[in-house]
Order: sequence, then structure tokens, then C-alpha cells
Amino acid sequence: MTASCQSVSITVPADAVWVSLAQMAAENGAGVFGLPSAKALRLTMGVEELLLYLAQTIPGQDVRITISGRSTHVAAEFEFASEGMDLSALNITSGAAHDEDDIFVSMPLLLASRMTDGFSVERMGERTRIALRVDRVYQEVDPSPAVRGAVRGAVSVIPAPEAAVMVDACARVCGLYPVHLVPVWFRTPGKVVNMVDSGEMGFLAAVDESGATCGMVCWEAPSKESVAFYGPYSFTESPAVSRLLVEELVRTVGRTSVKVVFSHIATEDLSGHGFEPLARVTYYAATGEAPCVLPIWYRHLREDFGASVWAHPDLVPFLEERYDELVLMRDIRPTSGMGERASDASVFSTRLTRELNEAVLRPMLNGIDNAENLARHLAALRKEGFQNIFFQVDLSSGWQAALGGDLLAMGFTPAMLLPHGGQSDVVMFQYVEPAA
Amino acid sequence: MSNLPLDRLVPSHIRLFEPYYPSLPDRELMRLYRLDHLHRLNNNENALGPPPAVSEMLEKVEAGVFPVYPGGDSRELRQALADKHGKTPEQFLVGNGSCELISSVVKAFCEAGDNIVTADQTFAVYEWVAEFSGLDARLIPLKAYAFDPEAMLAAVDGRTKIIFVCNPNNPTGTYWSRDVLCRFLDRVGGQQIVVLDEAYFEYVERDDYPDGMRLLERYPNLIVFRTFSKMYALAALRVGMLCASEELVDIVRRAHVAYSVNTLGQLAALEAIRDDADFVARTRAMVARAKGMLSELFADMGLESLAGEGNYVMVKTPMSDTLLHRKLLRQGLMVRTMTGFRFPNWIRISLVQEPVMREFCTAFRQLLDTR
Repeated sequence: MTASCQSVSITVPADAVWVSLAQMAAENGAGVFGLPSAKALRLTMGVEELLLYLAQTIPGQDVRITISGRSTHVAAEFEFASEGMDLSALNITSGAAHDEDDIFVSMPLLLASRMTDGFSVERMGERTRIALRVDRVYQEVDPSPAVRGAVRGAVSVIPAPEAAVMVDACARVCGLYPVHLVPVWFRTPGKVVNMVDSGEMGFLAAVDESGATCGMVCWEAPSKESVAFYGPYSFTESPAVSRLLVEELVRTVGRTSVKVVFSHIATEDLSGHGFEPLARVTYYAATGEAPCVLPIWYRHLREDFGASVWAHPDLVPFLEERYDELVLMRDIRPTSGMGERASDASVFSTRLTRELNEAVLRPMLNGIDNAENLARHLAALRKEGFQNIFFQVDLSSGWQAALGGDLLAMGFTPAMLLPHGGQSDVVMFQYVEPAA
Repeated sequence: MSNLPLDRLVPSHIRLFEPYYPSLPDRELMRLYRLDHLHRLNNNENALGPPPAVSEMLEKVEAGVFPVYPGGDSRELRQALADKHGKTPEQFLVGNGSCELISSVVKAFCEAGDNIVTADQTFAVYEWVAEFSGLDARLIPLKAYAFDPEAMLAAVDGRTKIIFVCNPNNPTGTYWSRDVLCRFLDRVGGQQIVVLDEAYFEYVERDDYPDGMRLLERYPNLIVFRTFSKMYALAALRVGMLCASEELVDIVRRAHVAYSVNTLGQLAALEAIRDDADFVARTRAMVARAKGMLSELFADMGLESLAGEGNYVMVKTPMSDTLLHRKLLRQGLMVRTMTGFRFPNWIRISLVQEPVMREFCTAFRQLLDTR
């Protein structure tokens, strides 16, 4: 998949004098790329705060700022040379762990991360890239009545249908399926349409001879080697609709370089379609309702000739068992912290989905405070009432894999292994509340 | 995260093209899968090995040949091919496998904005070369598992330069008869180059199967591909060839790198065609026995299969082809999954000697019975 993108870039010294220029670029760029003024202001302030922070930490160094308009958001990317700088304020828990001086220094960074809808940090050698994201505003759709219709004539599957079909399909899914089987963004179908148009998302609609939409399935690419799908959603009683959608999904993604396809949200048993059961993940509802179990299915699309992965020694038995069950050959290379040099402060990203009571953490920067940072995140999220707390570890990364020991010690358990779910295989840990 | 301006340096069709990653070397696979043996049933190689005369010749090769460049245009091999097929040496071009020749033909005839036409479930290299050359590859669905001549003709337009026909088709084993091929070529009317890929030519014994070389005089837009990798078991040496009119070969030669075929490859290919009748007959007999065994097995298990021409068969399995691939590989049997060929849950099996086929049949049945 490729996403269309327009952008404007400036390179400025990390100096407060240049903040107004960066603000102008962000504000004008956000406007041109379609953000409403309130949202454009948030991006502008985020850019201002981040450049102010860099002016204090890497004064005078070149910073390349790129404002880009993407399908569902506008991004401001900062790229600069830096080694060992403290980015800990980008943690969602930042503030609680710092003394007053630290807060003063990192306050701009903290503000930048809180003013925007998301951020990512990437460090390669001595260069760092921070991206701030402000989402576009979409109108919410009213769910369609929860009624399944009859199929009239033969059903065909259409890739990326016109916008009206996608909007209608999303509304029908919202009306027919329980909340835990519906991605949040289905309620704002305009976002779905934009994602499909830009190539960030794939979409198939099933249509009968009368032209009625009978079902849909959609997917995105969480990594270069995998796609994760939602569905199949059927608006009829006919089992043929789901079958056709899944078959076409496999045929479509099978033509690409993607290695695996797995369900992000699966609506039914897919064993008859060549999918293998990967895990059953328990979701706890905030309202005190009984927890629901979400099965995760997966399917390789091409041969898997084996690979090497890193793993904390305590995780090796789990991995050996899972790889054996999945008939996947892996060289498991144990790794754990050996006192090697790392940043003072680690950074974890956090994706919160209130409707699902879910928080997903991902390690972004390695630090000597990994365990303390993890504990801070866990405490903060539990205090906020999140009951479905996940931590994603990519086994291509030694330092990420080494976090497995801290995760297990703090009550996380490996909930699933996603082959090729990231740069390599991914383990999704889930926090399990200790028995009362 | 380098500072290279790759957005500017790399053409978009290359940025979007996904590289092909071949399987690991046997030794590494056997280590990972903890195997004491590995039968490759995935690449349609001839498990009998090359003709005996080739083996004998290779054993006598002296180190003195290695410091010297090979014949740059495979002159002796082209002369031998000309003698064998009743052509002139100028009608042949030898390449580092057929893949290099596909690339040379595309480079020779296509420019930006042009397109090629082929099937969507066939040898993938036609499509790949077109795409990483920035050309549109028009992929026409098969009809009853065979190339669909009408749909292919309908896809041709003024910018279509080459039509690739794989005959017999890999992986379905279907073929166009002489009548179908001639009708198609008549309809093309010399307006496009038609590449007839006969990689599995020597495996086909059907009376109505056309010999493309015999059609070259009648159709001057025809280019015929053959290879030494399949029947002659010289896959490791990478020798392929094309035959066409002298005029067309002269054009393709301009886009073809000289010296690309190594000395051992040229010598082995020369030896292979010198007296090949007995070797070809033995290979065909092996393939026929194996095809019979597998067809019987699949029929007995109620599975849909395709056992057409060529040294391979396909079967649709009631489980994920990729999972079955891994389970078979754990037993030392490597087959080809077909989801990437747009046949979800089919596998393709190369046809080899009886003991290996028996081992495959036992493992296959056991895996499906116990799933």
C-alpha cells in the first residue's frame, strides 16, 4: 500500500529566534492540508513547543521540519542529529517522575505531545525523527437499523467501491455488530473513505445483483510484511457472503509482497478458509459486563523458510511452544540487559481506545529506566481504569525483546505471537490483574 | 535513515516494486528444520540430474578454463542449436537463463508508456520484468486453467509491444494446441511480438502440441524460448535460449549483455543436446510414473488436482497451502505454495523418482488425515 502525501519542508537552526517561522509554516501548511483552524492551532503550538525544546537541548543544530498532509491527518516531522537527549517527556506518564527542574526543561516537549493526537519517535544512530500528528475532523454516522436482508441473485465482490457504498457499509456494521467487533473509526466513515482512497486501507464490498451491499471486509498494513483485517461483516443471512469476501481478501493480498494476513477483529470462525487460530484474547468491559473473548486468526501467504528472533530467556519456553504449534522455524537468540549503554530515559508510545477500555504500549526508545517507566505506565493506566493493557514487543529488536523479563515480572503474560507482525515476529503481552 | 535523496534518485516503479527473496540454501534450511534429508519438489528441477555425457564432461574440466572469459556470444552452442533445429546460428541468442532473455526482449522492444500482455496465473517473471521496467503488465485471468486467447487479444492496444504465452503453462500444465496457437498468431497479425515460452517443451508428448520453432517462418513476430534448466537439469549453470528470425534476434541482441553465459554452462549445454534421446525418454518415463502415483492419490482422497503437461502437478488442499508447506518441509519435503500464484490453498509438486514420490504420498496423506 502507498499513501499519497503532499509536504513542505524547512530547515532551521534549533533556536528560539526561528520559532515564529516554524509556526507560520505549520499554521499555513495545516490550513492548506485541510485542518480546521482549531486543529491547525494545535499543530502550530505543538511545532512551537517542540522547536523550543530542541533550542534548549541541541542549541544551534540544524532541524529539518516537514509539514505533510496525509489522508486522515496532518503531520509535523522533526529530524535532527542528537545523541542521548532526553525525550522522556513524550511518555504519557511524563511529569510524575521528574523533579521541578526537569519539568521546566521538558515542559515544551510535554506540551507538544499533549497538544497533538499522536506522536512517534524513531532513532537511527545519531539521528532522531519525531513526528507529531493532528487528526482531521470527521462527522459521526448514525448506525443503520440492525436488520439483515436477503441476497438477491449472485453476489460479486468489488474492491474499493465508491464512497457512498463504504459509508453505508460502515453504518450497517455499526448497527448490526456489537461494539467490540467494530473498529472505532467505522463511526466516522469519512475517515475510512480517505484511508481507502490514499491506499492506507484496503476495502472489499460484496454486492448482489440488485446492487444492494451485502457485506464488507477491510484491512490495513501494521507492518511491511503483514495485513490485519476487520470482518468479514455480512448484512445477510447467507454464509456465501463471508466466504466470498474472505476468498477475495486472500486473493487480493496474496498478489502483494505481504507475508501474512491476520485478523484484527474477526467476526467468525475462519478455519474453513485456510486460517489458523493464533490466540484468544480476553477483553474486559469497563461497565462490569462479562469479559468477551476475541479470537485471532492468521494465515501465511507465502513460504516461511525460518528466521532469527531475539527473546528474553524467560520468554523462550513460550516461544518454543508457540513456534512448534505453528510449525515455524526460528533461531531463538536469548538476550537480556547486560548493562550496555542506553539513554537515560526510555520512551513508550501509548494508543488509547476508551470504547474498548484498551491501552496498547509500544517501546520507542531504549533507556536505563525501562522497568521504572513500565511501572509508571502500568500504574497510571490502571488508575485511569484501563483493564485491557497490552505491550507490543518486536522480536527483531534485541532491546525490545529484553523487556520481556520486566513485563513478565510486572504481571504481563504473552497473549499472542504474531508472525511477521512487525519488522519480525511480534509478541503482544497483556497485563493480567492479580487474583484478589 | 540515510541522507540520500532516494525520493529523487529512485524511480517510482522501483520504489513500489517488492524484491523477490529466494529460499534459504539447503544447508541452512536443513539446520533450521533439523532435517537429515531434503527433497526439493518446488522448482521443477529434473531430479535425475544432467545427461551422463554432461556429468562426464564436467568431471574433466580443467582449472585452466576459469581465468579465461567465456565465449561472449556462445558461438559454438548457437551453431550446435542451429544444426539440431535446422536454423542458422544467427537465429539464436543464449542467455543466463530464460529470465535474462525475458529482460532483454522487454528492453529491446518496450519504452515508457508501453505495455505487455500475459496471464495472471503464469510464470511471474514476465510480469516482474515489465513492472520493474516501468511498464504496464496486463494480466489476463485464465479460462479453465488455460491462457484465454480471446481475452488476451481484447487486452491488446496500440501500446502493447509483447504478448507472453507460456506453453505449456506453469503452473497449470495446460497448453495451446497448434490450431489455437496459429489462430491466435493470425489474429495478432504481426502487430506485436509474441513470446512463446517453451520451457517445458521436451516434457510434452501430445500430438497436437505445437513446436514453436517450426512456426518461425510463418510468423516473423514470433520468438521462442527454451531452457536447459528443466529437462536437461542444468539449472545451476543458468543457460536459456531464444530462437526467432535473424532480424528479431539482431534487435534483441542490442539490449543483451554479452559474456553473460559462463563457460561451464556453454560446454554443458553443448553436451546435453548432442545425443539426448535416451535421456529425455528416461526422464519422461519417470515423470509419467510420478504423475500417475500422485493423480491416483489425489483422486483417492477426493482432492481437485491438475496433472497436465510438464514435470509438475497441482492439488487443491483442504488446509492452508502455506501451513501444509511448513508441515511437509518439517519432514524434508519442499513443495511450492500457490497462493502467491493466485491459487489460494493449492500446492505444486515437482515430479521426481518413485521412492521420493512414495515418501511424499505417505506424508501428504498422513498430514491431511490427522489435521
